[in-house]
Amino acid sequence: MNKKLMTTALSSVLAMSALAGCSGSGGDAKQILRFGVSGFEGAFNPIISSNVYDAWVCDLIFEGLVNVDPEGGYVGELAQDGWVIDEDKHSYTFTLKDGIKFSDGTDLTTADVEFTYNTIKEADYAGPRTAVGAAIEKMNVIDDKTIEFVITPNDFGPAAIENFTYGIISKEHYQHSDWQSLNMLNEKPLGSGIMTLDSWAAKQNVILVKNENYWDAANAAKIDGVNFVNIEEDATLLASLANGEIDFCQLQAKKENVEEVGKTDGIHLVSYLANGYTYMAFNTARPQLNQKEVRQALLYALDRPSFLKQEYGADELAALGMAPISKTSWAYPGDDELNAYSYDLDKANKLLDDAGWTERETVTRTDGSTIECRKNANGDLLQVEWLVYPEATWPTTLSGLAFDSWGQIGVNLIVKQMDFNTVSATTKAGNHGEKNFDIYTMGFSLSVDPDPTGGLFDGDSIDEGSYNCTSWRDERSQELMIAGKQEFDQAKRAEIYKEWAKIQNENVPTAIVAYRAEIWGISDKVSGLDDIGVYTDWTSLVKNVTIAQ
Amino acid sequence: MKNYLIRRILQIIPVFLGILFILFFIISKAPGSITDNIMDPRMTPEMRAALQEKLDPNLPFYVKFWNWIVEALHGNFGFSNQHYKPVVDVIGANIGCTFALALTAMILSMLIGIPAGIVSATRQYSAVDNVLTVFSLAGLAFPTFFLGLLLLKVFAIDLRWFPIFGLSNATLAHAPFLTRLGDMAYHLILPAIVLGLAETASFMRYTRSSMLEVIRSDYIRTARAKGLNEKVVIYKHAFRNAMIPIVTLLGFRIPGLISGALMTETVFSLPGVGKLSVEAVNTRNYPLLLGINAMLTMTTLIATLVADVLYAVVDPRIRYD
Amino acid sequence: MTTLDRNEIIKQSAKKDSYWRGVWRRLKRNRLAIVSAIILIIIALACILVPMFSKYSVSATDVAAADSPPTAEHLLGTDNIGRDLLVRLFYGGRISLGVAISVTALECVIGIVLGAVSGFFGGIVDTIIMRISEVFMCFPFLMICITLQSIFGTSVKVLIFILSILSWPSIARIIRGQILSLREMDYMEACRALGISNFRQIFKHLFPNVLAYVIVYVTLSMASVILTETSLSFLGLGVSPPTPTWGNLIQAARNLLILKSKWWYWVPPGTMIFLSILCFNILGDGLRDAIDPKMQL
Repeated sequence: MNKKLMTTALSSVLAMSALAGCSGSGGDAKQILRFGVSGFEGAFNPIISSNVYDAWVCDLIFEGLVNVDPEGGYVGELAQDGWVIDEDKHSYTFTLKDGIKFSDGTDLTTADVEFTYNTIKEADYAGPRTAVGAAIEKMNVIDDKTIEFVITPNDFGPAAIENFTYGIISKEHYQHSDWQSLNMLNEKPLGSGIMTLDSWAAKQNVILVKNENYWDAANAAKIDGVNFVNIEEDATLLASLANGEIDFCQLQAKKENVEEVGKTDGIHLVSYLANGYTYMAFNTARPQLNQKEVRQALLYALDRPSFLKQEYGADELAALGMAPISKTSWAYPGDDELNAYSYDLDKANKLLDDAGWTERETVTRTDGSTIECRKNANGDLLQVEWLVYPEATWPTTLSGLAFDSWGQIGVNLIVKQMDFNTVSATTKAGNHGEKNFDIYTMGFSLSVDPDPTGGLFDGDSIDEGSYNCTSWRDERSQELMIAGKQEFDQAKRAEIYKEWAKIQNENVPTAIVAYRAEIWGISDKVSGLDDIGVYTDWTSLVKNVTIAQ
Repeated sequence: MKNYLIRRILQIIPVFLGILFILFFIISKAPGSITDNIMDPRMTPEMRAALQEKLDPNLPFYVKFWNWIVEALHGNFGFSNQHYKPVVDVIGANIGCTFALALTAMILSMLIGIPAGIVSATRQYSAVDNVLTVFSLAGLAFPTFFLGLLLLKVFAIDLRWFPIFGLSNATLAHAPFLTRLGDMAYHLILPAIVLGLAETASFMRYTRSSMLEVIRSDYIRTARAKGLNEKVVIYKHAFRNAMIPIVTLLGFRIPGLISGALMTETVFSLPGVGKLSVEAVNTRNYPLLLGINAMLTMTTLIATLVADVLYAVVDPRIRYD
Repeated sequence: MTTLDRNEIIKQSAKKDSYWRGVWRRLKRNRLAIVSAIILIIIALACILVPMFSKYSVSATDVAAADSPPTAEHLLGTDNIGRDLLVRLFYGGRISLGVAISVTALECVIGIVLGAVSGFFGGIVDTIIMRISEVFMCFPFLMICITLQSIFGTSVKVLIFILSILSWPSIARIIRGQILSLREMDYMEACRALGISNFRQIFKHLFPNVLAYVIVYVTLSMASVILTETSLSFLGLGVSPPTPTWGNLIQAARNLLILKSKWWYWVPPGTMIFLSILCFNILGDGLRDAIDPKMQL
């Protein structure tokens, strides 16, 4: 009976809405900024959120001690500028600005700051900021507005400032007995930022409304709220933007998207080279790949300019990968200092001949064709397996080109497609020298500071579970990385990183494939968002945004 | 009959446990873990191992299997570390969409498929029958995702008759209940058509063959011989009898509907259980994956059981031994 | 004893001969089914011949000619790194149809053996096999695929293995049902009375009777394997690139921009998938009608 009633109701509603469907939205006098996005998961706590989408929500609801400025430096957010760094005591000391209040009207003091970082250091904390907790040796609350952080000797350096960008949570609101009870508060966030959470629905939307009690009246939001609207497909995003269903969104950096935005009235594009790159990592413990000449030859035999043209289309959307430092960073050594490995099959052949891969053997490739595959004196075939994941198109495009061109220099490429997490797990499994892959490609986002320790190029993190899966370690490279991490003088640091980048560029345990752009489609009705840039998050611009009706 | 029922219900238990056991085994062999998604270059392997121990302790799979069963009997189906919520809550937030989608698709396919099947059967070998037969075969031959993409292109992107994505319009979050229900129905039309097409085709085929069988039977011939009006014969006598196996068929269609919903939800970005399970696989969210699969398996098994029993009740030729 | 046996075989084979001739006669009358069979043969021939005689090879790239709509040079255009899509389409057909044939063959072997054993022996053997088949039918397909592929790799062979392992239960259950009902029939009683061994009973007497079911099942299974391979490729779980399959080729249409403006990427493989599934279904239906319209398949 109940079911029958429900089906009748549903089908009549269905019929009604099919007729009236097009009359949709509109008539809303409030100024709401609608952001098309997918991937938010409801972890709206700055010390728990583990993806960029939840982090964006947190950035609007919470504020940290410091924030990044458009040039990639740091400025005070809750803290006053001019914090004190004591190189002897390994400490950072911050003083809070005046009159800071949480959105419920209570004061934000150093007790809340201490509480935030203590929560990360709790024994049963199981979130993604473990490393932040480990970097902070102890805290000394000097008074209501001043707090000193003592950093562990290993982590002390200019990059340690990054520990202080995370939002401060309210001690009173976030009282908890254990990890699970803390998580119960993820959907009831309380911070000091310009927005507060109204409601959210998984895979549908996050609705933020203006914080009417914002402590800094001059910087309060001019709009009434921000809606995150869940949209998964890239082309769907663009169509929704064109239809006016959303006001802005991030698009894939592809020429089709650029062309499409250009053709569509009422929307425009903002693009910039991102702080990150795509890379190709070689397992240097493999007999085929342990000579740098072979790795260089494989790079010479890869037509990356054509790849960039076909995959991204326009010059402004990608740049040829050179060194493991972002092109946007002050630490980038400059193109002249580095080898671009321009496409050159003759050079590749010569390098392989010189490296001893002179014998040949006929092998059948995975597509059924045969090639004369190179062999060395030990009888090892020059045959490599490349792990490719289907979640993005570029690894398939690049490996498709390589299959052809590497075949021409006598290298048998076997592409193995597996899902992203399997690639990640396969390459991270096993200690150095015991890894079970030849080549894999992936993307990597950098933090604002160029310090590369712990990442893809650190010879001290080459064992199970670490990022560097190449099994490659070089003493000089390690010395330089540590020197760079400890040096506070930026000019001296840039010199150190230049030498380091050249070592990596010469030995290519991991080759940088490309630097990619990020592009944003924005409705012409929205003003104040056009300054989005590599170091300027859109969330930091929301306070300036106005929307024309 | 009673014994048959009890035996069928008892048969479900080993199958259910068997599926779960194999699932635990497979998961123990699968690469990747929940910690992969919360890595940070500054985390050392020791930190990562400690995190893994907190989130998903390293135990043999049969121990995990046993623990899961014990906890489930106490009503605890695990905790999704990706959502920071109990698994039951996560599934609960997504099941409404799948239910609405499957229900709408089923209603649509019955409303179209059954009458079409009757027409096809009563005019066997006519032009109408041939067209409908080819249409139903074409409906079965269309991959769900391909049809979904095509309809998206034509009706949502080019013609803009329907919304392109999702289940609701965010600006209506505080609108009255009926408006939101209408909005949801509007969003579900295209996905329901896509999911319903294959269902419509199979309903049509089943109705047609069931009707044909009944029409050829003795008592219909008797009815005709008595000089009854053809319409009365078809719609009163034949249709009623042909309907019985079709209604029981509903139970058998449920597994197909669930797998179809998975693809449809992926294409139309709908927040349903199908899409949730793809994500659970991609993020190695094993507690959630187990919860979803336990629920889907149970639904499938129960639906099949109900269909089997109904079929046995309806068709006296089935023996209960 | 021996004479009786031989006589019966002769009688049965004569009956079988006219039986299959009758099936063929009925099938010939079904024009739709015949057209489908012809289309399938044309597709198969094209898959064999086009890659053999084309001047382009499957994986050869040519970025200068990339992204080109159909021209006289490239009859079906090129993809984003300049590979000829005509060759890839038909080479992909070889893989897709090859996978379908292999999976169908393998699942039939597994399914028929287990179904026959289950149906003939009954009792505890039957119960165990049927419970296992239910377990396999309810499996979370995606999870199994990812796991097995990560353990065994993602080659064509592995894909065939996974699909066969996961799809044998339906044919096993059909065969079991047939054997159960045939076992009750009179001539089996006679065999039992004559003391013919179990093994011989199954393979000599029951098998020809279930052959009809197998033929229809094989045809319909071809269609469903093609559908499954395509769907897996759509989710990125099919055969590894750059080896093309129809599923891999149509994956390009996941990008709605390609779906919108570059029809030559996805219309041809989409048509091939649609057409071959449609033809296999029609042919299967036709075969069923010609053999036994009451067959529940």
